[in-house]
Amino acid sequence: MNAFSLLWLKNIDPRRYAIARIGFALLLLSHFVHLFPYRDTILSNAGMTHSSAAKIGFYQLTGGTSISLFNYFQSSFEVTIIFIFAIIASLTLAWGKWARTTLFVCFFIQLSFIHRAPASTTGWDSILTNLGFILLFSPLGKDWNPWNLFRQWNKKQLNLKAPQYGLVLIQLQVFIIYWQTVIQKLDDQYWAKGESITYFLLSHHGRFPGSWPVAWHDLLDKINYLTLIIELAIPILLWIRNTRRLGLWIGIGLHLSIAILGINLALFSLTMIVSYLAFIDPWPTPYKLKSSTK
Amino acid sequence: MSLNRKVIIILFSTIISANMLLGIAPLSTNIGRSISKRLDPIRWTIGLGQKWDMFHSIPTHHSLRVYLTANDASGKEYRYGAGLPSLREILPRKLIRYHYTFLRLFNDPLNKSFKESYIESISQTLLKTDPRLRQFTIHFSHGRINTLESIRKGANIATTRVEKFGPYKVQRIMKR
Repeated sequence: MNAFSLLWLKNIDPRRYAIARIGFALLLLSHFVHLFPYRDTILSNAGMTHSSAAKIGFYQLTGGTSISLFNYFQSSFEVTIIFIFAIIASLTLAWGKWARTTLFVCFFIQLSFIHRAPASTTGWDSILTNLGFILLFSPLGKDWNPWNLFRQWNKKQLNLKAPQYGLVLIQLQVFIIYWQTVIQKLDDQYWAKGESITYFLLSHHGRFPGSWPVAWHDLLDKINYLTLIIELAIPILLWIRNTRRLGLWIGIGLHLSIAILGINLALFSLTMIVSYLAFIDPWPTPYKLKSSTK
Repeated sequence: MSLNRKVIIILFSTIISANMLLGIAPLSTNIGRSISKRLDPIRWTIGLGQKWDMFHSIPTHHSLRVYLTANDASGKEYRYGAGLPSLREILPRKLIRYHYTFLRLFNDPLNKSFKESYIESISQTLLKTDPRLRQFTIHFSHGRINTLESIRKGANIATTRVEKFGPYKVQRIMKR
C-alpha cells in the first residue's frame, strides 16, 4: 500500500474515534446550551429577522443556498423544540447510541442555525460544522460508551480496527485553522505592531476592565509575537508523537488563557481543545510492528 | 475492507483535504478571492466554509449599546430595548452574539437584507405594543478604543459615538 493510501487507511484503535465522538458530543451539548437564550431573538420569525430575508441574506453573504430547518419551523415554540432535540441528540451521541443519526441531527441543526442567522455566527460555529461533517462520514467508535471506554481504558491490543482518515482530516483542519489565522494576522497592523493583545484586553472581550493593559504594554507586545509563534507551532507539535505532550500543554495553556482573560470566549477555547482529541493516541502501535504493516 | 470502500475513503479524504488546503490562501490575495468565489457557495451550503479569521483583526470596540426611541402622534418619546420579540434591553457584553449581530447589521452593507428585516420586525412589534406610536429611531452607541499613545497621555480608554438610524415609520408593512 503506498504512503498516500496508508495516510487514510492505516488501521487504528477504534477507541480513538470514541474519544473524539464523546468530546465532540459534549462540545455540541455546551454549544446548544449556550445558544438556548438566543434562540427566540435570532432564529424565530418573532425575533429580529424573518426567514425569507435570511434566505436572501445568506445568499448575499456566501453565494450559497439556505437549507435551514428554521426556514420551515419558524415560531418560538418550534425553535425551542428543535433546541431541546439538539440537546437530547448530543447527549445520546456522547453515549454512542444511534451515533450516526444523532450526529446528523446535531450537525443539521448547527448548519441550520448558520444558514438562518449568518450575521450572528462566531468563528467556532464553522469549526463545529467542519468537524461534524468529517465525523459524519467517519467511524464513530459507537461500540464504546463513556462507561465501558473508562473500564477498558487499560486494555491493550483490541482486534477491532478502524481506518484513521477521519482523525487525520480533523488534524489537517486544525493545521489549516491555526495557519490561516496566522497568515491573516501577519497582514494586520495591530499584530504587526505588537499591539493586538493590549487592544484585546482593553476591548469588550476583556474580562478585567480598566486601562491596566496600557501599563503592561511592553510585556504584552512580546506576548503578541509569541502568540503567533505558538499558533504556528501547535499543530506541528501535536502532529509529532514525541512532542505531542508539549503541544497539548502549550495549546491548552493558550486557550485557557484566552478563556480566562477574555469573556464569552470559553466555547471557542473548548472547541479548539476538543479538536486536539484527534491527535491523542493513548494506545499507540508499537514501532516494531510498523514495518510489517501492509 | 473491500476495495470499493477503500476507494471511497481515499476519494472522500482527498476532496475534503483539498478543500481545506485551498482555504489557506487569505481572502486579501487574488488567488484567495478567486478560490473563495468559486467554492464558497458549495462550502457554506454544506457546512465546509474555510474562513478562519479569528482575531486576525483585533477588536477595537470597548462597548456597545443599542436601544430604540419611539414617538407617538403628540411627539412624546418612549424608550425601548432593541431585543425582539419583547423589546427588552440587550447587553451585548454578556451575550456576545448580539455584539456581532448588531455590528454586522449596522456596519456591513452585505447584511442589508437582515438590517431591513430587523427594522421591519421592530416596526411591527412596536405597533403591537402601542398602536399610538408613529415613528422610531435606532440608537447605536459604541465606544471605540483610543490609541494607546493617547490613553498613556491621559485620554479615556474609548470614545463613545452615538449613531442614529431612522426615523422609520411604525406600520404593519414596510416599504423597501
